[in-house]
Amino acid sequence: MRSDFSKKNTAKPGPDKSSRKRQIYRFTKMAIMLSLALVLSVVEAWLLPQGILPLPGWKLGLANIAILVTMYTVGKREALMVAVYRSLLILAFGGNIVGFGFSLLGGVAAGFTMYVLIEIKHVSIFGVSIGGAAMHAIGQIVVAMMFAKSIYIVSYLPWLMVASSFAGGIIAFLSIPVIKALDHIGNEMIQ
Amino acid sequence: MLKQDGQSDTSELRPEKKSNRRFRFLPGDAMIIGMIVVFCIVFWAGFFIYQKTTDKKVRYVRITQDGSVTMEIPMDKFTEPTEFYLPGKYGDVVIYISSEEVYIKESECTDKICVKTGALKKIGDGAVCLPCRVVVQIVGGKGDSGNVSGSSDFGEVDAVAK
Repeated sequence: MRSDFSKKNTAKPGPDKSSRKRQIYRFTKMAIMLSLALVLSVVEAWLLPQGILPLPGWKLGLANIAILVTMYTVGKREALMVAVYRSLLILAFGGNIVGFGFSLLGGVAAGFTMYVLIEIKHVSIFGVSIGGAAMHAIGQIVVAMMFAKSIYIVSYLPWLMVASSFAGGIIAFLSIPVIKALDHIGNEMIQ
Repeated sequence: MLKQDGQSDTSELRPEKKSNRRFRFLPGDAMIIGMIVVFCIVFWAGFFIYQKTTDKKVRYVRITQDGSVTMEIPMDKFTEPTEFYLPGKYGDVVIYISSEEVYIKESECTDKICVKTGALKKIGDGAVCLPCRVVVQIVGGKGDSGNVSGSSDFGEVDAVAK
C-alpha cells in the first residue's frame, strides 16, 4: 500500500530510493567542487598574482584541479557545469567582462576536450589535462581576438599553448592524490 | 571495469565510474603532447617565414583601437620621444613612442598586462590592452615616405595615417 503510493508520487517511473540517494550525492559533490573551484581561484589570485611565467594571460589555474577532480569522481557533465557556473559566479563576484569571456569560452573548450579524451583508452589523466589546457589556450586567443578585433593576437598562440600545456601537466599531477583520497571518503559516506 | 560480485548493495550505489581511472603516463599522452608541439612549431614557423619573406624594412607603429586603426606612422619619424594620450570608450591609454622603441606607459585597465609587456622594438612585436580594446604593434612597411599602403600584415585593413 505504502509502496504503491510512493510510486505514484515519483515523477519518473524509474527512480527508487537508492538512485535518488545517488542523485543527491552527486549533486552535493558537484556543489562542493564548485565552491572549491571558486575558493581556489581566489587563493590563486592571492598567492600568484603575476603567474609564474612572465606571459600575459597565463596562469596555473588551480581551480582546474576542482574541475578535473569533478570529472573523475562525479561525472563528465557535472564537470562542464562546474566550469560554466564558476565563470558566471566569478563575474558576479566582481570580475570583469574580459576575464569572464576568457574563463567561459576557455572553460567550455577545455571541458569538451576533456569530455572526449577521458574515454580514450590510451590516454591517462595527464593527457586529459594537457589536451584541455591546450584547447583552453585556443579559446582564450579567440576571445582576445574578439575583444581587440585584431587578428595579430593569434601570433601569441604557440607560446600560450606550450605554457598552458605545462600548467595542465602540473594540474593533473596535483589532482591524482585528491581523486584517490575522495574515493575512500565517498565509499564511507554512501553507506 | 572491475566487477565485484560479492558486494551487491554498496557497489551499485557507488556513483563514480572507475573504468576511466588511468593515473600513469600512457602513450596516448605522449601523442597529445607531440600533437601540441608539432602544431606550435608549424604555426610559429609559418608565421616566422611569412614575416621574413615579405621584405619590409621600415618599422611602422600601428595603434588599433576597438578594431579600427587610429594611427600608423613610421617609427623613424619620431626623432624626439613622444607620448600619446589615447582616450577611448573603454579606458584611456598613454603610449610612448621613440625611434627606438614603443611601449604602453599607462593604462586605465585593472590588470596592467599591457604595461608589463614592456618595450616593443622589432617588427612583429605587440602589446595588447584588452580591457581598453587597444592593440599597439610594430608592423613592417616598404616605403620611406609617409605612404602606408601595403604595410598591413594580414591585409585586413586599409590603414589611414593621421
